[in-house]
Amino acid sequence: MAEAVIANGVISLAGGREDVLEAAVREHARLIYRIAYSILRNHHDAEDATQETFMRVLRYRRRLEGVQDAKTWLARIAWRVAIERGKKSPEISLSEAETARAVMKLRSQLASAEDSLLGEETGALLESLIATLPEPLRDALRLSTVDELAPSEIADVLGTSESSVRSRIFRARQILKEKLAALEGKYGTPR
Amino acid sequence: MELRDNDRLDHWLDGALRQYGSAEPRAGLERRILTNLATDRRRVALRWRWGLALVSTAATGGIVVLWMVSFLHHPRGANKSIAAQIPIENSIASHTGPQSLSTVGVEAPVKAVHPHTREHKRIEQAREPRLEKFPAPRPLSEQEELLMQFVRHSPQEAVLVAQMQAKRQKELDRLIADQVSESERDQQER
Repeated sequence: MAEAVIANGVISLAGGREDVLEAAVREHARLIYRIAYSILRNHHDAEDATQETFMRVLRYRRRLEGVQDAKTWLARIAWRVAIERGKKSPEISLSEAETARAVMKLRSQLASAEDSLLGEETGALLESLIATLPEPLRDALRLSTVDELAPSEIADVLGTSESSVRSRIFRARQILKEKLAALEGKYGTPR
Repeated sequence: MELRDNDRLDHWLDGALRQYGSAEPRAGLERRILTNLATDRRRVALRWRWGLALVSTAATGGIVVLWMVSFLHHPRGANKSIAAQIPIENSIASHTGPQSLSTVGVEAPVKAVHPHTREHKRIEQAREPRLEKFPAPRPLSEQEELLMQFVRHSPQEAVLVAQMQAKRQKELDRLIADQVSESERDQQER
């Protein structure tokens, strides 16, 4: 019963608080994990953040009564938890050699014109470039990588408008492309 | 950068960002979360139970201590007057003494008395068995015994002797008083 209520986007306590919480875990654990992972970039930390998110929900479960959109509410909690945890972890930075290797990989992937897997080096390069973005752009871009979140839901999580979110994502992508093009120009040519 | 390159970069970025956010949790994430939640709930419940047990134990202990303190201050039958606990003979015998209690046989409420106070000492003394006379009679000396025998054998003569002694004592007192007044007058004249 509780699961059906959650699926409608409104939390009701008809089935009891514990049932509602259990239903929320079953329904949204994956989303929470992905949000955490988009910030922390580490499976272990992302799982810890997911656990902590639901612990907070358990602690404040009485507030569940007033929640209209469980998904966004949980996403916002997960976002805050991950941001708090992310402050403690060191920022990623690549050496010159690592950057050069990553750009070579990227160049070959671009030349093949096929969807290839994001390798360890290119992934680290993208992560380091995202880390250099201004915070509002970075937050919007990271949340946009979570498939389950629509721009309107990202706007709710970040406390802004949907158009602002779309604009931030567009600008973030523009900056990333410019940086990648610059790096390709710098390291892409075989020496 | 050429337009074609820009398109390729855009395409690559799309795929890269898709992969960037497509992390899959380890299998059994929900189960682990639910287990943790259940453990935490049990821990909280246990903490509540322990808290309640501690509070109730402390309350019970407090009540017992209060009861014991009140019991020590008001022993059994404390609602009766202290005088009632003292044997009646002693009470009657001692009612003329300085420590006599005027409430013999009268039921009177007794207030809680703190130890080491004057009141407490007074009550403690009142509890002790009383002597029939105060101060306690001491045995007669040899001269007093002889005097008693003389009085018993010849009471009339004893009375006369006593009267004469009293008369002589009065004369002596008068003489002493006269001498004292004369000496005072001389000092004033000088």
